[in-house]
Amino acid sequence: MSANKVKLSTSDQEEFDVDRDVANRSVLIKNMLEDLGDSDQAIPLPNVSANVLKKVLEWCEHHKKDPEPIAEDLDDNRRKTTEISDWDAKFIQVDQEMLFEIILAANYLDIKPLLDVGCKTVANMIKGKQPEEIRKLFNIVNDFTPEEEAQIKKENEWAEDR
Amino acid sequence: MPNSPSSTDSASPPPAAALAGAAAPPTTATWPDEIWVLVLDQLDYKGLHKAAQLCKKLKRFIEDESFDARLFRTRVKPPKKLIPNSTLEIHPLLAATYCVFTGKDALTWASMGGDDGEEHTAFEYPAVDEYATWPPATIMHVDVGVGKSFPVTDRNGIKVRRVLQRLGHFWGSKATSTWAWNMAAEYHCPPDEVTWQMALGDRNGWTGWEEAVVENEATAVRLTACGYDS
Repeated sequence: MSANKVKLSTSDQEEFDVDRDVANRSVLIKNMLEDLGDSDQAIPLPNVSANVLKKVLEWCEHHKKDPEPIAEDLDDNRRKTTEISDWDAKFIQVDQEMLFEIILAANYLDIKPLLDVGCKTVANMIKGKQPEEIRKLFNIVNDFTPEEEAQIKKENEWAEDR
Repeated sequence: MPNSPSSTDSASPPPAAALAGAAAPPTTATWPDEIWVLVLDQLDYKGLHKAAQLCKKLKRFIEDESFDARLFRTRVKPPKKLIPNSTLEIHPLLAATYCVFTGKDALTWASMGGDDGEEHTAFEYPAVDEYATWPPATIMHVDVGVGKSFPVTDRNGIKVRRVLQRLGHFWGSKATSTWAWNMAAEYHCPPDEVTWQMALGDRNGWTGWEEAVVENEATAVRLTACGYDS
């Protein structure tokens, strides 16, 4: 196997031959490659299935030349920007199951910028919707008592989108 | 699975998907907490308030002090000095309050509008006791664009309530002589009965706050109103 290629093995036993600089977008894989040295062994990714890995690698391929992310200012009190680049916005237009899978995979594979895109997308989904809609969408169980809920609603109603 | 996979993952054969995804479709229920924290980190004041309504876990996460700034919480003391010429965040409730009227008894009424077609006052909401700006200020000069600004102070940090109350008092207070003489003629009343509210004429209120900027001495903040609605 070429030194510029790495082999990744998914949870459903599919193997992917990937350029090293693409695979290196994942800090997890990068560290594993460094530990393994020159080896032909496939890197097992037991938490990622083939269809999700394919999608994640598509992102990595597009972003393989991105500079290393700079550590963000920690005491950032400003309102967070929720802007996503055009390419990323198009990339993340997937059904919700896939969105959640991508987020989980990005978290597991330690691909911070991709995780960021996923989390921003989820945040934007929260913004435009009513609480009940969001719960349904995200499968969140409402565990407040009716009294608690009434109280919270009262505290927050003015902040609803109009 | 309630939802059939869309075109994006149609390439993978069903057996593979079944192997990979275990039994249940992926939901946020299986998310590790750190992912939720990252999502919350992307939300602004309104988004966080909405998220806090979803379930106990999220509400508890949002209790964390790391969200104090974005929620204008008063559990942090105001800083002794602010950065000169820096722009402060204005509390969304203050920003949404587009007019404050006052009667003879100096009762303040802050109009919010509302989706039920009724007028609401900002005083109806607990958020009125949060800081008016972030970082919180202790001295503020409020400029409502009638040629005179008035001070608001609170050594423990100025809350939304205080700004609105002072606005109410301001509109009800006697205008300075130049204004008073001009207005007295227009309203056919003695100059000493002219209040600043009359200076508004038939305008209903300002259209929001332009900015809150720290003045040179690094302690006082100038809060400036936008233009007026009629």
